[in-house]
Amino acid sequence: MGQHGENADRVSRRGFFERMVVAIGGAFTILIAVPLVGYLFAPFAVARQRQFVRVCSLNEIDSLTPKEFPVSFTRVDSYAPYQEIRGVFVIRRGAEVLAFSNVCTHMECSVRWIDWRQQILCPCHGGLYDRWGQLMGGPPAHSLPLYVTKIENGDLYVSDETVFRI
Amino acid sequence: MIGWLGNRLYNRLYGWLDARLGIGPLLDRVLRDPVPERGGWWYTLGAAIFLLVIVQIITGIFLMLYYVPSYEEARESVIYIQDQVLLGWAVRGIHYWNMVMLVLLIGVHMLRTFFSAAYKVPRELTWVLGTLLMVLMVATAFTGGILRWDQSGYFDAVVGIKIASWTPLIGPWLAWLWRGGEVIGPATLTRTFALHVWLLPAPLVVLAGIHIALVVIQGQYGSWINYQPEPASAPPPTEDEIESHQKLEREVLSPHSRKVNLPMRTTWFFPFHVFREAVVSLGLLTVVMIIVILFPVPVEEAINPATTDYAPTSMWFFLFLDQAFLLFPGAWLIPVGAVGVPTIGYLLLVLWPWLDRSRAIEPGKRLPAIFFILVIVGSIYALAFLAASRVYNYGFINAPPP
Repeated sequence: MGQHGENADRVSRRGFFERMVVAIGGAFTILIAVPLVGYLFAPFAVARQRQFVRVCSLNEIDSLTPKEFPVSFTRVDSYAPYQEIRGVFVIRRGAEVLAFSNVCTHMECSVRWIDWRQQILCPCHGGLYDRWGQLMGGPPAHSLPLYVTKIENGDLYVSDETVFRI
Repeated sequence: MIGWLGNRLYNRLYGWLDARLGIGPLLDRVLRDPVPERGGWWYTLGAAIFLLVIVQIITGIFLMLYYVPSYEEARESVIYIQDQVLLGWAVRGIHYWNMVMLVLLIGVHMLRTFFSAAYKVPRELTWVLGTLLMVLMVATAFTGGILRWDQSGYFDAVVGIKIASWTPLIGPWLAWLWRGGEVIGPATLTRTFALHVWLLPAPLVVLAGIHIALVVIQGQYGSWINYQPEPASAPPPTEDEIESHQKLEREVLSPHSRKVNLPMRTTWFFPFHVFREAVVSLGLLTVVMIIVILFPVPVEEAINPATTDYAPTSMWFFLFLDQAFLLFPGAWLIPVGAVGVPTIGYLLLVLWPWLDRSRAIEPGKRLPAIFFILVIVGSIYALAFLAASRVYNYGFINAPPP
C-alpha cells in the first residue's frame, strides 16, 4: 500500500500517511477494546461460592416416596444478594440418603412426583424418572443429577454443587 | 379557504427546504415512484410491518416509564402497569398482541415475497436483510417475554440460555455472558433488558432502513402477481401515456432496476399506493386493538423453580420447534435439534436466491420451489398445532385418568 509512483521500493509520502491512519485506527480500537472486553468477561472473575443449606431433618426422609423440599441459596454474584430457590428431592436407598435435583435433564423444566404412576414426570415433554431419579423414559438423555450432601445433627444439608449422573 | 392557505404554506415550506437541502429531486423520486395502477394490495404488508414496529417501539418506550428491571421488583412493576396505571393494561396489551401480529405478518410477507419471486436478481440483498430482520424480530420478542420475570419468563430464560449454550465452540461462554454468572439471577434480568431494549432493536432499525432503501432504489418491478400483461381488450395507450412512460424510463427509473413487463399504466407511490398501505395498516391495528380489549395479557405466579404445579410452555412462535424436538431421540437433541436443523434451515433460507436457479418469475413456472415452500410451511403449521394440542391437553397428568 505504501508504494506509489516510480519508486516501487520506497514508501511515498502518501503511503506513509495511509499507514499512519491504519496504525492510529488500530491504536484507538485497542485503547477502547481493553476495558470493554474486560467488562464483558466480568462474570468469570467472580469467585465461585460453595455453601451448604439445610433441607430437612432425617426422620422426614422416606424410602418409598421421594419428597421435594424447596431450598434457598444466598448468592452475591450481582449488585445485591438474592435468594436462589431450588427444589431438592430426598429419599433413602438402603443405608444411604439420596438428594437429587428437580431440574429435568432435557429442557430444564421442573419435574414432579406422580403418585398414581409411582414415577417422577416432567410435564413439558413427558420425561420419566424412577423414585431415585434414574432415567426411565422419554426424551431426556440422563438421570437427574445428585446433590452433594452432608448430614449434621440429624439434619440433611445440600451443597449447591450437583454431580452428573448417567 | 383553509385548503388554499395550507397550499401556500406548503409551497413556501417546500421552497425553503429545497433551497437549503435540495430535496426536490429526492422527494420526486420517492413520492412519485411509479407503481402499477392495478393490483398491489399484497405489497402493503411491508409498510404495515414497518408501522407496527413503530407502534412496538413507542409502546415499549412508554412501558419503560414504569418497568423496573430488578430481580425482586420486575414482576411487581409489571403487575403495577397492568392493574394500577391508567390504561396500563392497554399499553401492555398493545405491546404484546402487536408482537403476535408482527410475527404473523412477517410470515405472510416472507411468503408473499417468495411467491412473487422478489428475491431474484437484483434483489438478493433485500432478501438476505429480510431474513436477518426476521431473526432479530423473533429474538426481540423472545427476550421481551422474559422481562415479565414470572414463572413463564423465568423458564423462557432457562431454555434460551440453554440453547445458547449449545452453540458450537463459543456456547458455554455465550451462556455465561447472557446469564451474567453461574446461575440465573439479577444480572440475567439486567442483560436481557439491555438486549430487548437496545442491543437487538438498534440493528433491527438500521437494517430495516437499509431494507426499505433498497426497495425504493430498485423499485417494485418484476413480480408476477402485479405485472400481468395488459388484457387484449384494454384500449391502446394514448400519445400522452406513451410519452410519460418514456420520460419515466429516462429520468426516474434507476439504471439498476430490472424492467420486466413494465406496465404502461403506472401511478404515483404517493398517495395511491400509500393509501392502500394506510388502509391495510389501519385494519390490522384495529384488529390488534379489538384483541387487546377482549384478551388481557396475564401475569403468572412469581418465580419458583421448586414448583410441582407449573408446566412451562414455549412462546407460541417456537411451538413447532418444541414439537420437532420430540421427533428424535434425546441424545440427538443438541447436535441435530439445536444446532443442525436450525442452522441448516436458516442457511437454506438465506441462500435461497442462489439456490432457486429457475429463470421464471410466475409461480406456475417455478413448481419445485413452490412445492418446497408449501411442504416447509405445512410442516411448521402441523408441528405447531400438534404442540398446541399437547400443551392444552396436559391437565390430566397430576391426577389419575378417570
